[in-house]
Amino acid sequence: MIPDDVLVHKTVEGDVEAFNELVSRHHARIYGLTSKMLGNTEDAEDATQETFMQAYKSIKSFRFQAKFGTWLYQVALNTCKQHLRKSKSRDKLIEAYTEESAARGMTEDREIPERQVVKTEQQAQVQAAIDRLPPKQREIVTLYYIQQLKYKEIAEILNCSIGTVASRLNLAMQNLKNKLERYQY
Amino acid sequence: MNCEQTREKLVLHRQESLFKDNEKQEFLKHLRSCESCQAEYEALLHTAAVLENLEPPEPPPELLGNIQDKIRELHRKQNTAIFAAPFSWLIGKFKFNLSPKLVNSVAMVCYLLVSVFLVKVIFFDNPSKDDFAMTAMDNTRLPRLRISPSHWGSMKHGINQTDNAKATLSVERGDLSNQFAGISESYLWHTRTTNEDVDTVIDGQFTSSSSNKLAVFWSNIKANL
Repeated sequence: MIPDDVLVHKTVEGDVEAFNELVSRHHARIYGLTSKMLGNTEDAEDATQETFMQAYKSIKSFRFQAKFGTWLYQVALNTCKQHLRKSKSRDKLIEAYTEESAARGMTEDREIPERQVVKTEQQAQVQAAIDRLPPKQREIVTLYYIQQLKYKEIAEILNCSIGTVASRLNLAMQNLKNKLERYQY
Repeated sequence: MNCEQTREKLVLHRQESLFKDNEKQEFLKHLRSCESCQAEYEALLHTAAVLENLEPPEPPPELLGNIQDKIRELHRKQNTAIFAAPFSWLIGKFKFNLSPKLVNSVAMVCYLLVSVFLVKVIFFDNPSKDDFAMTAMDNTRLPRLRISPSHWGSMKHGINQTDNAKATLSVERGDLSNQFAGISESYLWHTRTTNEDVDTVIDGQFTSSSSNKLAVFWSNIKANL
């Protein structure tokens, strides 16, 4: 299999099909991230599409210092943030669950609009609990537990220290545990 | 290590390399001795297991194709010359997968063909006198009367000697109304007057019609040839 970096070089040289090969390799993971971050399939599809469009436009800025996949996660997270900012309902959610309220315990139980269709009720509840996390905690939980990236990779993606990743993840897990306790897990 | 410090380290349970020096030993020592922290640790492991069991969402099957199509379209837009933009748009509409170079080439060929056609029509497609006369006549209310440019000149500036004789003949035959004395259905066709007459007459009669302006244009070209 041709390494990602070689395909990136080919893309820069004008080979569009090389980039489409990268799309076919990474689209499922990016869709996984966007769907967890945005919570519904329509937004996730849009964000996935926008992520690859944005990546294609700015492929020349990729410096090969990190893996292409890591860089793509960065682009995807930025796209998700833009989507969240655009969405009014999401804005309300973000305001309601700021970092401060998260630190206080997040006892409110708010109604969440329709979420991604998941196969089991348990999965739906877990997804709902993730959706209620503040965006920064949601992205870290998604990257660590669902995308199963390492701390170092997450730190690269989020452009922060490993210590920050650990403390943010700790906070996110505390929140999530409290939420899932209501479902008697 | 106290409870608070221990709980901060709980999430590191799978990333042992992130423990500093002998932190790991202190962490485990506290965990073994503190039931509260043990409960917290178990809860964390349980939550982590729930998250890890969450099935990753499957992207819809059409998503990959849609993204790839969009990328191709973007590539075509970025690499297509400005003059070929309409062709690129048209090709995108019909979902043809053509490379930008090909689109540029097709656009250039099309523009070239159109240019050649226009040059031919404007400068080399010389209509016959009959065509010109008929064009002029279409704008009059005398569709059956064939008239040459020279005889408009006759009408405007008076009938010359030659025409006079023929006009008389025409009137005698009763072919034409008095108004158009001097002009008959083919009698006067070959009579020539000066080109100046033609210009003057046509300017006077047809300036409001664009087709007649074109007629003036042709007549000028003919005069200069």
